[in-house]
Formats: sequence, structure tokens, C-alpha cells
Amino acid sequence: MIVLDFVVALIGIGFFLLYFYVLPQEGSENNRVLTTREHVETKQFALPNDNTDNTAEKSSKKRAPKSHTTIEYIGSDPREASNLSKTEKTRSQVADYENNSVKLTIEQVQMGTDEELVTYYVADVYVISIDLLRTAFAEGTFGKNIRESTLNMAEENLAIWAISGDSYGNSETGVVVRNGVLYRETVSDAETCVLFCDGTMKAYTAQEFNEENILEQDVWQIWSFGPALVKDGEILNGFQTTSYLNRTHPRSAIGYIEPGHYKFVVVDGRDEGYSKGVTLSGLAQIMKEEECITAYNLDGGKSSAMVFQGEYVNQPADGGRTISDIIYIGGEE
Amino acid sequence: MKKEHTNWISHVLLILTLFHGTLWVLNALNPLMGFLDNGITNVTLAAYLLLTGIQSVLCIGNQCRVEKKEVSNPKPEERP
Repeated sequence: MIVLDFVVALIGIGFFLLYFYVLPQEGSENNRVLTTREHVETKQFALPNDNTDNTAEKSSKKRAPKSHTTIEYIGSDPREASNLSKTEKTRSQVADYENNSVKLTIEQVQMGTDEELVTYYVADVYVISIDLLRTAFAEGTFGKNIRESTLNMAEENLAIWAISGDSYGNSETGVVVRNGVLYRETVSDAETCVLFCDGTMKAYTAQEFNEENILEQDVWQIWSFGPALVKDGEILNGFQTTSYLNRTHPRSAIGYIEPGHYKFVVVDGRDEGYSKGVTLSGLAQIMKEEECITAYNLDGGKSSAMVFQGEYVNQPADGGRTISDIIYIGGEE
Repeated sequence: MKKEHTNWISHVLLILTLFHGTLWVLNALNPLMGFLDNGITNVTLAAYLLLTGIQSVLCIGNQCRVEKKEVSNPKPEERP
């Protein structure tokens, strides 16, 4: 009889995972428009000249806040960060793009040797208006378990460039604002990243995130994944994660330098001899070296992907996987 | 309540224990997936608590009945 109980429990878990993780569920259509593109277009930034100095100001180091949630904080590893900063890096430009409103350069960076080799891609993005930095849902629909590859979503949205997003669709909680529209209001325990219409970007812990207050401001995008990696130009002392998630993995992250200037990083991994991946400390060190004032971790593992003009820039682990959303820069309309 | 009732409740509780135990492990690995914080697990957890309560009351009731029986009908060697 007890064996039968085990079988029933297994079947129950199977059905649960099928419903929870596989079956697509469209979200509510009661979305609230927070900001319109017309409103956003009035705030313009300048594209850089070739000799622009983009050095960002830095300020004091932030302490990792204590969490009241079930998600623990794991201390950043200064030794790994130090090792990475000392490792010689080889940079090579793999793509660039420029028009009247966007300037984009993608570089491949390699560091280490043999099985310690790490390969990552940095997209240095300038936009004259924040509405050019858009996001898109898989199949153009907000909902749970609706997934598509980064490449397909980029093609459907006529994206010049795209990167995997925060996979909001894997969870039922976490505030979701995309292109100025509020899709989900349920606050989660995860850290939240807000891109405001004035081009600034901030990361908040669950305790710092005052939903009402923030949604009253001009918000263009909100991602709920994390953790935050860099604040005020300094690596955080701890990351809101688990030891399992903090292992060496493929990673992706968004970084803010100044209004209209952002850096996106995709680190390849799980491929010895090409790239082993990095921990969150390693990713934070990369984002700091890229001079980011704020940096925030996006969905990693097989999800990490960067696409430029219809082709993968990086080599997603195991060929990549389908995900809920992308961040992209659209073609000229 | 009949013995069969406590029997099936025990089986359901075992199933729910295995179900929640597995989700607890998955949640410990990746809390952002919200395995323990969703509509389904809230319902199954409520059912688990309800059945645990019922099972406990039944067990205590049975125990009291057995004790009463033993007091009113003591075993032959215990009779004065």
C-alpha cells in the first residue's frame, strides 16, 4: 500500500510540474498603462562622439541588506573578483551598428586559459530615447509558461539586437512593467530592477521596493529576477541567491552607466575549453570593470543568449532554451 | 469514526508529505521559481493541515477509548 502512496505522490508531482511549468496560461488583460511612448520620446539623450569619456562617478560601498525572506544572501567572493580582475583579457569587436538614434558595439572578451577559459560578450548600447530600449513577450502575449527562443522573439519584433530577459513567466509573483505597461503587481521576495523614463536604472531589495511609490513615477521597465550585482559602482557584499544558483553558470546581466547608456553582458558557460561560466561574484566583477553604476542579474543558464541581426552572438549552453521575454533594440520604423 | 477512515487519511497524508517534501527541496534549490508560493500548494497545504488535525483528533479519541476500555475491563492479571 505504501508503494502505491509513493506512486500517487509521484504522479501528483508530475501533474503539478506539468501545470506549473509547462502548460501555457495567458495572463490577465487588465493591464495598466503607466507611460506612453509619446511621453517617453520627449526625453532625449545624446549619442556619444568617438572621443567621449564615459567614465562614471563612483561612491561608497553598499552593505548587503539582511533578508526577511526565504531567499538567503550569500557573500560575494572577493578572491574570485580579484582573480578575475588580474586575469588578462583579450577583447575583440564582433559587431557594431549605428543610426540616428542608436549606437551599439558588441565585443567578445576572453580571459583565462584551457579549462579556466571564460568567454563573454559585452553589448555597449547608446540610445537617444529610452523608448528604443524595449522588451517583448514570447508570442507577443503576457502569461505563464509561454515561451519562445530569443532568436524567434528578436525576428518577430524586427530587433537589431536582443538579449534574454528575466523569465518572468516562470513565476506567479514579481512586478512586471514592460514598455510602460503594468502587467503584474504581485510583489515577490526577489530584488527588483527599475528602468525609469528619464533613463536611470535602480535595483531595489524586497524591503526597499515600495510598489505604490515607484509605480507613481515614470517607469519604463521593471524586472523581477536578480540579484543586484553592483550599486553605486561598487560590487555588493552579498547577493540574494542560493549556493546552488551561485555556482559557475552561463550568465546574463544588464548594466547602467548613465541615462541613455547601458551595457549588457552574456557569459557563456558549461563548455570546457571555450567558457566555463562564472559565479555571481565573477559577473559582478565583470560589470564593475565595464564601469556600470548599477548592474542586475538576468536569467542565466541555458537561457543566456544574445542575438544580433538574426544570429546568435554567443553560444547558448546546450543550444539554449525557450524563454518568456527579451530586451531588444528595434529596427528603424 | 471507523478504522478505515483513519487508514485512508494516513495514506493521503503520506502522499501530501512526499508531495510537499519534493517541492520543498526544489524550492530550496531555486526559490525564485515559487514552488511553495502558488495557488496549488496553498490548497494542498491547507488540505494537509486539515487532514493532520482530523487525524490527530481521531488518534487521541481512539487512545482515550482504549484507555477507558482498559479501566472498565482490566486484564485478568491486573484485577484485585
